Amino acid sequence: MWPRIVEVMLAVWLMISPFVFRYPAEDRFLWFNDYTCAVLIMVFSMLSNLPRVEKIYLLNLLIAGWLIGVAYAHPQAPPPPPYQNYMVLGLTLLIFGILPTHCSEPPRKWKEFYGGEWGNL
Amino acid sequence: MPDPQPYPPPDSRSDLRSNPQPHAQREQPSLQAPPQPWDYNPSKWSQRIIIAIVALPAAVIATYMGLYQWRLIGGVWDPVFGEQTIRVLDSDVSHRMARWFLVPDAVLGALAYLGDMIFALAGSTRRWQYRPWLVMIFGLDVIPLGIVSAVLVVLQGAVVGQWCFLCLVTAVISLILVWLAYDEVWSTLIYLRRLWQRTHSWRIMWWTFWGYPSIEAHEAGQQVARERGTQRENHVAKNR
Repeated sequence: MWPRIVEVMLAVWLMISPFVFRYPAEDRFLWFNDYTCAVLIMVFSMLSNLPRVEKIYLLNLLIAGWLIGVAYAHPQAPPPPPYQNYMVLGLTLLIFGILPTHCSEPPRKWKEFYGGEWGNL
Repeated sequence: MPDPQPYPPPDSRSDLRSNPQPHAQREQPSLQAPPQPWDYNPSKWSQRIIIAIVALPAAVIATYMGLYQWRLIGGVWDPVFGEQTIRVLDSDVSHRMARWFLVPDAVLGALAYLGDMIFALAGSTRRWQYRPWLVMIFGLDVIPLGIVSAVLVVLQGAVVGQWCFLCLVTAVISLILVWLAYDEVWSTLIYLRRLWQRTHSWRIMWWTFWGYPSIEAHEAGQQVARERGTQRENHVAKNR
């Protein structure tokens, strides 16, 4: 569960990033990108608590790739702070986004294989 | 550990994903069982928490140096080499890496140590069997990256001609992490090797690697956990 909570916190950071990094109001791409990615991260993270779509959190890896790609697409290297923020967020999201929701327990398939819960984690 | 319950015959082996075998036939293994070749469980919480605790100061130090490289703080403390640390952090090598990776190299290091901590804390106490992919990612993050970063720190001292005390501290921590982490990776590799010897099936290897169960994977895991006991008994008998 904790990887999803951290992802939601990363999404919140993405939502406040325009104010932290003082995006110009006319730079619509940055504003749109931040809020779209943040909302998607939150939706995927929260939906993954539903058993039918438990793997949907993996889509956050695509968002991580997108954020890293946007940073690399900037002509300046190293790019301005908002794009470096994308890079750091993208890499952090890669770390957490690969972890299963209930990652401290054996995988559900293995639990089913043995027909129930383990007593001693 | 008691002997396992009888399994279904080989011709009725379960599919890796649909998993149709009756549950009652399978012995539920202990999550604390030490795998071959150790007398302890390298996936146990106490060992993995120690890894996370050891990686934490390295992450903090790397973040501190990254803040300087971002110019969010004005200088970097170094009780041994003084101003040399700032020259290392502002060196051409460091600037070139920032152009390649878009963020300062110390920030990348901080993320790598964060990865060490997170991957150390994820997974059950039998993850060497149930999540081989996680142990291998953890191993890749800790072992090759740790060794490379330690070598780079020393090389940077030799190439730039300036030494950085905090960089050397993180390099030592990296090597300690390698020492702490290799046993679990080794057990996972032994488990996968046992599975390969049993099945010679890339398909089973693939799904097992990603954490899907099968009778074969279960048996290989039991074998790896059992063999350790057998090896120990043989060793004791030999030296009796």
